[in-house]
Amino acid sequence: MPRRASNDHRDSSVLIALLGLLFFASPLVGWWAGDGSVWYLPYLLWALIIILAAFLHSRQNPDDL
Amino acid sequence: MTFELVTLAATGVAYLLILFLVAHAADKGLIPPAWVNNPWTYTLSLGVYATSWSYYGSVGFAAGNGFQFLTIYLGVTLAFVLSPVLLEPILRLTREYQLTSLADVFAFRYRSQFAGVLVTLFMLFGTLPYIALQIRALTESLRVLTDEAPSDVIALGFCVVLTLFAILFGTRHISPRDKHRGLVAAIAFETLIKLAATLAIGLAALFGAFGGGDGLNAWLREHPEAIEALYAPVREGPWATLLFLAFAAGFLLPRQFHMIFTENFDARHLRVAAWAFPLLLLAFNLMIPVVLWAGQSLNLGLSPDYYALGVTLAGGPGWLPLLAFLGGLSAASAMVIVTTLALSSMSLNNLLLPANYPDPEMNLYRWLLLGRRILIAVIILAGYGFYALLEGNQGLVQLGLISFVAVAQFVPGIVGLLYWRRATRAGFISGLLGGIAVWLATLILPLLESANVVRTQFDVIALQASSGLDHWEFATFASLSVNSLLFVLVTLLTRQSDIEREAAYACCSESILPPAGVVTLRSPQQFRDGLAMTLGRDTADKEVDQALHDLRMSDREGRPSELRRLRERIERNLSGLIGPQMAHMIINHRLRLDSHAKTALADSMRYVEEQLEASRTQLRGMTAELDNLRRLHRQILQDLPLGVCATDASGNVVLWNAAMQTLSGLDTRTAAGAQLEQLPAPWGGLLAGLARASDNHMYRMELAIAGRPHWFNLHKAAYADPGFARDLSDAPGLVMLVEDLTDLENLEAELAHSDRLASIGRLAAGVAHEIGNPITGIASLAQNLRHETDPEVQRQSIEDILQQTRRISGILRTLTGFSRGSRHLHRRENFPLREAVQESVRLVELTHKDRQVSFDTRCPDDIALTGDRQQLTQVLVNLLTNAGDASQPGDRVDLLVRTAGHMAVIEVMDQGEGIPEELRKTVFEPFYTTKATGQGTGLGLSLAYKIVEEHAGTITIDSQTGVGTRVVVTLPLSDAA
Repeated sequence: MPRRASNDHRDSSVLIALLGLLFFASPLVGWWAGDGSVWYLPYLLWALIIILAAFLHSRQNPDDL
Repeated sequence: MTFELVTLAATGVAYLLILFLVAHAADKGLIPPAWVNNPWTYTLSLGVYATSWSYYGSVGFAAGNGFQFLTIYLGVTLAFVLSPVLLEPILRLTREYQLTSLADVFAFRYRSQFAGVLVTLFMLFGTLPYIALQIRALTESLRVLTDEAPSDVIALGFCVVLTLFAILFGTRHISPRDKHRGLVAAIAFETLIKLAATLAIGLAALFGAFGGGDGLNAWLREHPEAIEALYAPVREGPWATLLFLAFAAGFLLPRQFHMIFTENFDARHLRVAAWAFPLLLLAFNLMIPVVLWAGQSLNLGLSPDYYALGVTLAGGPGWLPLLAFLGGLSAASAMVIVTTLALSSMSLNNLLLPANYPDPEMNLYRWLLLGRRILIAVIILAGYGFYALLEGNQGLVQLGLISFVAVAQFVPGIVGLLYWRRATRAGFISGLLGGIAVWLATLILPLLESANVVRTQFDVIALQASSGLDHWEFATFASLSVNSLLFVLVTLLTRQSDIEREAAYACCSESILPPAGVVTLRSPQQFRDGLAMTLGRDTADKEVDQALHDLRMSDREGRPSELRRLRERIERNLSGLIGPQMAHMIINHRLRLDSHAKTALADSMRYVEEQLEASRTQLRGMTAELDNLRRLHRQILQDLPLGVCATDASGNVVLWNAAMQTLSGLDTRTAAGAQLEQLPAPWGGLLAGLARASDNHMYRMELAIAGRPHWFNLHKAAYADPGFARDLSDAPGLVMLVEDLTDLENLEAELAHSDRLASIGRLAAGVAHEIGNPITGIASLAQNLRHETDPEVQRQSIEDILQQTRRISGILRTLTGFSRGSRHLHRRENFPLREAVQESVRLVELTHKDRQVSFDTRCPDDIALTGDRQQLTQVLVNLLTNAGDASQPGDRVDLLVRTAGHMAVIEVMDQGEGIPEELRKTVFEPFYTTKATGQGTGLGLSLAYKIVEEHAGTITIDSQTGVGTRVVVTLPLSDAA
C-alpha cells in the first residue's frame, strides 16, 4: 500500500476530527441520542473514529515526522 | 461482604511494592529496554488520564448526567486524532527547546517569567483539588469495602508512599533529555491494572447482576427508562462544553503534558498513541452503563460513584473487590505521582529558581534535584491539605471539572503559540488573568461557600440562572470569553519586543527567522569562564562540554557563526535544567550578543536550511514546491564538477560545494562561516587573493598540494544580495569557481613527452647515419695510426679522431638535450633565438638528409626571447619537420626571423603541396595528421600551438595549394633585449 505524505496525513486527521465533531458536536447528536437508539450506539460511533484514525496511521510513512 | 482494613492496607502496600519493583527493574534494565521504549508502553502510560474520577466517578457521572460522561473521553479522542496539527507541533517544540512543562512553554513563547509564574500558580491552584480528589477516592473506597470510616493516617501514609515513589523514580535525572524509564514503566503497569480491574468489574456486573447479555437485554426491556436516562442529558445538557473541556484537558493537564511530551522517548510513538490511546479510553468506558444498571438493579444503597466496588461486593469471587480496590489505587497513585512531578518541575523553574537562585559556589545539579524533591513533598502535602479541607463536600466529578475549566484557560495561549505569531506577552497575561478571575468567581467561590470557608454577597448562581446556561457551560463560556477577548484586544493594542518575535517564530514551525547578532566572546573557554560566574565552575564546564559534544564542535572553535550556534545550544540545554526564561537571562547576561553586528549570510542560510530540513514534511502547496526547487538548485550546485565557493559581503564563506571539498580536503562544516583568509593554506591565500584581484579570472595557477604541483583556473563574479537577509548591507557577495587543470596539464605533458620521443624515433635513423660517418672515419684513422710512426701524422690523426668524437658528442648532446627535460618545470630564461633556430635546424637536418631538402635560415643575432628554451626549440623542430615532410627532394625550407614592434616574427615556409582550405582549421587539433601511419603522431602542431599560446604568442597558417605553406609564429621579445 503506498505511503502518504505528511501533508495528506494532516489533512486527513483534520477531516476525521471534523467527522468526530459532526457525530458528537452537531445537531446530529439529537439523532443518535433520540428515542429507540441502542445503548451502545455512541460507542460504535466512537469506534468508527478510532478505526479511521488507525487506518490513517497504517498508511503513513513512519519516518515522516 | 466487607473487608478488614488491615487486609486492604496490606494489599495496597503489596501493590505499591510491586510498583516500586517494576520501576526499579525498568530503571536498571532488568525489563528489556525495548519493552519500555515502544509505542504501546507509551500509550499505556498516557492512561494516567483515567484517574479515580474516571475509575469510580464515571458511573456516578453517568447516573447523574447520562452519556455526558463520555464527553470526557471523546474530547481527548478528538485532541489525539488532531495529533498531527496539534500535539506533534508541541512535541517538536518541547523536544527542540527542551521545555519540560506548559509553564515553560508559555514562558518561552511569550518571553516572560511572569507568564511562567502565573501559569504555575494557576496550575497549582487548579490541580491541588484534583490531587485531593484522588486521596478522597482512596479513603472512600476503603470506607465502602470496610464499612467503616478509615483513619486519616491511611491517607497520610498513602501520600508518604507516593512522595517516596515520585522522589525515587521521577527525579533520577535532572535533564529532560534523560527519560525516566522506571516511571513510564510503572505508570503503564498501573494502566494495565486499571484496565484489568475495569473489565473484571464490568463482567462481574454483567454476569453477577444480569446473568449475562440476555439478562441485561431483558432488564433493559423492562426498564426502558434506564436507556432514556442516559440519552436525555445528551440532548439537553452541556454536551459541547464538556467535549471542549476534555479536548483541552487531554493535553494541557499537567500529568498529560508530562507523559505526552516530557517523557516521550520517540516522536513516532505519538502516531500510534493517536488512535491507540482513544481505543484504551473506549475500553475503560465500555462497561460503565452496565455497572450503573447493575448497581441500580441490585439496589446497592451506595453513592453511584462507588458502584464499581459495590457490584463486586454483591457477588462473585472474593478477590474481585480487592482487584477493584487495586484498580482505584492505581488510578489515584498514578495521577498523584505524575501530576506532582509535573507541578514540581514547573514550580522549580518558575517559582523557586526566580525567587532564590543558588549561589554559584553550590553544585547546581544537586541543588535542582534537592529543590525538586522538596517541592514534590510540599505539593503532595498541599494536596492532602485540600483533601482535609474539602472532604465530603463535593462529588468526584465536580472537583475534576473545576480542574478541567482551569486548564481550558490555556487554550487561547496555545492557539497564539501555534498559530498567531503576532500574539503578545501582554495579551496572553491579560487574557489569562481575566480567565482566572472569572474561573475563581464562577467555580471556586461557590465551592468555598458550600464548604463554609468564605461567605460573599456575590450571587453567581443567580447570574448563571439568568443566562439560561448550565453551571459548567456558564463558567466555561464566561471565563474563556473574557480570556480570549482580552487576549485579542490587548495583543492588538501592544507591540512585540524583538526577542518575543524571535520566540514566536520559533514556535510557529512554518515560520523561519534567522538569529540576529554575533557573540562577543571568542572561544568555548571564554564561554566557560563567563558562565562559571553564574552557574559555578563545574556546571559551566559540563554544560559547555555537553553543548560542544551535541554539536560535534571542537574546543578550539572560533568562528562567530559556530559560537552563535554553541550559545544557542547551551541555552537550550540550560532551558531543560532551569527553565527557558532563566536560561535566557543567564545566557544573555554572560554570553552577550553584539546585536548591532550584522548576521552573516552564512549563518542565516544555514539556519534557514536547517529549519527547512527539520520541517520539510510539513511544507505544503506552493511552499513545498518552492522547497523542492530550492533543493534541486542546491543539489545542482553541490554536484557541479567545478569547485564553487561563495562569500557574503563580509567575506564569510556561505557556500562550499562537494567538488570544493574534494579539491581542498576541507569539509563544508569547516569552511562555512569562515573568513577566506582563515581557511588553511594554500586555499585561504589563493581565494582571498582572487577576491581582492581586479581581474575576474586567474589562469593556470600553480599550487603545491601535499608536495605535488596542481594547476587551477579561477573565476569570480559578484552577485547581488537577493534580499534574503534584509539586514545585510548592499555590498555584493562573490561567487568563485575553481577549475582543476591538473589532469589536463599532466595529460598535455605526457603528450609533449610522447611527441618528443616520437621525434627522437624519427631522428634515430639520421643519427645513426650521422654518427656512422665519424665512427668510420675514427676507425680508419685508428687503423692507420697503428702503423704510423711519424709523430706529426700521429698527432694530426689523433686530432682528427678527437674532432670526430666531438662531432659525435655534439650530435648526442643535442639529441639528449631534446629528449630530456622536466615535463612540468617551465624554466623561463632569456636566450638568443638564433641558437634555438640553429639547434632545431641541426636536429631536423639529421632526419631529412636523405630527402635532399635544404634548410635556409635567416635570423638576426640580436633577437632574444624569454621563455622555456627547450619548449620553443620543440616548436621550431615541429614546424621545420612538418615543412621538411611536405617538401619534395631538392626543395628548400626557409626559416626567416624578423621583429615587428615588441614581437619576434618567425616564418617557416616550404614549397610543398600546401594544405587544402577545409583542413586548415583542423591542423591544430591533437592527433590530426595527414602523414602515413608511423610517420607522425598528429601532436606536433597542437603542441606547438599550446606552447606558443603559453608564451603569449600566436601561430597562424597561410597556405596555397600547389605553392606551399607558410607558418607564422609571433612571440614577445625578451624584456632584456
